[in-house]
Amino acid sequence: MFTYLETASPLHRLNPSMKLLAMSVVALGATFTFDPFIPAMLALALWLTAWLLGRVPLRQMLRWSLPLVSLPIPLMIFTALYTDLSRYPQPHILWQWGPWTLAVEGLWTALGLGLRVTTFLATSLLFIATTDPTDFAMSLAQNLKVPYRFAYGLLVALRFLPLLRREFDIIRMAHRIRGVEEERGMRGWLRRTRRYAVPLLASAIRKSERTALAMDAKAFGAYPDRTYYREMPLRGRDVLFVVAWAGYTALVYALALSLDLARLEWVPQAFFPGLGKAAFLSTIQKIASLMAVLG
Amino acid sequence: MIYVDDLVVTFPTAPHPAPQGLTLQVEEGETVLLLGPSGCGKSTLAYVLTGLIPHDLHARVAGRVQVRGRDPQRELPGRMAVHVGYLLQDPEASFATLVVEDEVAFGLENLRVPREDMEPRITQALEAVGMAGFRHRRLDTLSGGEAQRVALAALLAMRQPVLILDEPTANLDPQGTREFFQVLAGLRGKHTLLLIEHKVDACLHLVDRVVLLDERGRVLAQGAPRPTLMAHREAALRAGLWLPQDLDPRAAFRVDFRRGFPPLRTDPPAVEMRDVVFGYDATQPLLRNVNLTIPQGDFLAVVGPNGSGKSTLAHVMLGLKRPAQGQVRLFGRDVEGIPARELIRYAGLVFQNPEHQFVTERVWDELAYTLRVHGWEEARLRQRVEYLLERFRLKPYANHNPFRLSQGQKRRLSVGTMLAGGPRLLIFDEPTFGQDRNTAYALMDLMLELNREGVTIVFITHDMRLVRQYARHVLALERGRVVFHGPAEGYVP
Repeated sequence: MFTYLETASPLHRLNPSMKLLAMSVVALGATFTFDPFIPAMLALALWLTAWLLGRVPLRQMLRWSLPLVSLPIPLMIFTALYTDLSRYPQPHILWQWGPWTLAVEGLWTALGLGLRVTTFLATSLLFIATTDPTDFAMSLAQNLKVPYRFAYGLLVALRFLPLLRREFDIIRMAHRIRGVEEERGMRGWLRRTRRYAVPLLASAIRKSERTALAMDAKAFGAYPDRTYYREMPLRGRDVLFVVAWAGYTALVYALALSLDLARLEWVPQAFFPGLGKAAFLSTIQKIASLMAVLG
Repeated sequence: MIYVDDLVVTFPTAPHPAPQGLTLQVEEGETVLLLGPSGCGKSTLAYVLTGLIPHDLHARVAGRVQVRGRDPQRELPGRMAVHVGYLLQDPEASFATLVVEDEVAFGLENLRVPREDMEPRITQALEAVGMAGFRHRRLDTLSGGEAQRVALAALLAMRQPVLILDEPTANLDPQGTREFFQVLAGLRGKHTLLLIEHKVDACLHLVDRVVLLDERGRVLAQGAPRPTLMAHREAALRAGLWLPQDLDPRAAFRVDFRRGFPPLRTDPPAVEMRDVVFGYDATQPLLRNVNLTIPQGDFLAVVGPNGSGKSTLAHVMLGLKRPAQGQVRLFGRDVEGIPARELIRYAGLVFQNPEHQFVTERVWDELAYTLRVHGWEEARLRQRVEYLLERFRLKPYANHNPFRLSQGQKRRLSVGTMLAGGPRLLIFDEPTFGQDRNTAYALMDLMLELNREGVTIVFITHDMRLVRQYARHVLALERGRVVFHGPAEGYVP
C-alpha cells in the first residue's frame, strides 16, 4: 500500500488538514456520476499533481497503482453484465448469451465505476505519499481541534504496527519449533488465529501499558491543553489548495454536462433494484438463470 | 529530597506485598544504586515516587512518601513529572512519537513550555547525551543504545531534579551499556539519581551509595558501594544479587570440558552452513556469506552487538527463516526438507520471551503437547510429563495457565517444553536476560547438564562473564559476518 515519502515538495509543505479536506472534496466529486469522463479527469489531475507538485516519482506511482488497478475489475465485469439496459431507449447490444447481455452502455458504466475507484485511490496516494504522519497528527489536534489524546493515539498506533508485525513473525516461528504444523482450511485458520492471538494480545497489551506509563510519567494529560513544538499554521496557500480543487471539480462537471459527456446520478438503478420494478424483475431473472446454469 | 517511611504496597493480584516496609532516604544530588532480587518491589517504588501508582496502576499503598516535600499520592495526575523523571528498561516501548526531536519535545509540550523556549532545551538535552547529530532521525532507525540515550534526553529536557532509572541498560549490548553509563556519569551531582540495575560492574564506580534490599523489599544494608557489598556478600548472594566480578565466588569458575563430557563429533556435524546469505533488503543483508560447522556435543556461545544477526542466525539454522542463498544442514539433513513435526526431534529453540512459545492453556498440556505431536502412547507420555514437571520444579503448577506463572517459572517451562521431544540440539536466545544471579546460574548449570548428556548447546548472550565461564567455543558476529569462531580460550572480546 501507499507509504509516506520523505522528500521536500510544495505538497509536503501544505497543511495536512487542508490537504485532507481538498482530497475529500475530490473524492466526493467522483460520486455524482457513473460516466467515465469526470472521474478520468479527476484521477488524471491527481496523478499529475502528485508527480509535479508532490515529487512522487512516476515509477513509484506505477508500482503502487498497477496492482490496485486490478481491484475494481470484478466490480467492472459484473457492472458491465448487469447494467439495467431498460433505462436506455436504444441500447447498443454487442453480444448476448443466455441471460447475459453486453452493451456499450454497460461497458460505459463499468468504466465509470472503475475510474471512480481509481480516483479514490489517487486521492489516498496523493495524501499519504506527501504527508508526514507526525504533521498530520499535530494538524488534527491544532487545526481540526481533535482532542490531543486521540491525535497521539494515532501516532502510537502507527509506531506499534511494525512492532506487532515483527512480534507476529516471532510467535509463528516459536510455534513452528514446538512442532505445530500449519493446518489448512477454514478450521485450521481459526485454530491458528486463536493460538497466535493469545500471546500476540498479551504482548501488545503489555507494550501499550508500558508506553502509557512512559507517557504519563512525562506529564501527558496533566493539563487540558498543551503547547506544540511543531506548529501547523493555516496559510493562504492551504486555503488556495482546497479552493483550487473544488474549482477544478466544478469545472470538470460544467464541461462534462455542457458537452453531454455525463449525467448527474446518485445511484445507478441496477444496484438498487427496488427503485424500478422492471430492473428488479430482470435482476431476479438473471440471478435465477445464473443459478440454473451453474447448477 | 526523597523520603520513604515504612512503605507497603499491595497489588490486587499479588500473593504478598512488595515492598513490605521499605524505609529509605536520598539526599539532594546523591546517586544511589538500588539492588534487590526480582519481585522485591524496586519498580513498584519507582511507580509510587512518580505517582503512577495510584493514577495509572491500582495498588494499596501504606506508609509515608515524600519527594521534594510533596506527596506523590496526593498530587494531580501528571503533576509529579515536574519533579521526578522515570526511565524505563525498553526505550522502544517508551516512545510516543516517531522522530528524535519530537520525542525530546514531548514532555515540554505536556508541561506547556512556550514554543520559543523548547529549541534551546532540546539542543542542550541532545548534546548532554551525545546525540546532537541525530535530531531529525526517525526513532525506529536508532540502535538500542542510541534509543535509550534519546529517551534519557527526553527527561533531561524537562529538567526534573530527580531521575529514576529502572534497569536502563537491560536491553543494551556491552558497548551501548558503557556509553550509557558514560553519559550518566556526566549527570552525577546535577540530578538526584536513583538507579535500579543488575550490571554492577558497569555502574558501581559512578554511585555514591548502594542500598541492598531483601526479598520483601526491606533495606538489608546500605552505604559506600564496595565496603557495603563486601560486608554483606553472603546475604547478597543468598538474595540472588549479581555482585562485581572480584566479589563473586564464581569469578574464577570455568567448566572443564575435558572431563565428563562427550567428545565432539562431526559425523555429521550438528549444524553446517555453507555460503548463507539472508536479508529482506538485498543491499543490506542480515547475514553475509556465513560458513560454519558446529560439531555435535559443542557448547557454543554466540556473541556480537545488537543487530549483528545473532537471532537471525539461529532462525536460519533451524529453517525457520529461509536464506536467500546457501545451504543449511542439520545433522546432515537439508533443513528445508524437514517438516515441523520432525524438526522438534532434531532441535529446539528457547526464545527470549517464553510466552511466545506457549500453545496451550495448562502447564501439563504444554509439556505434553510435543509428545502428542510425536504420537506417544498415553501411559508413557504421562510418565515423561511427570518427570519434566519434577525436573523443572513445576509440579505444584501443573494445572496453572502458563501465562500466569512467574518469570522464572515461565522460563523453566519453556525449556521443559523444548526438552519434551528429546532434541539433540538446543539453542537459547539470551537465556539469562533479566534473571537474577541464582536463576541465571541454575539455568546455565542445567544447560551444562544437558550438554553432558550429549545435547549440543548454542546460546546467544551479551554476558561476557557467562561466555568465559561456560562456553567451549565462541562465535562472534558483526554486521552479519562471522568475525571469530574458535575455542573460547582464544576469544578476546
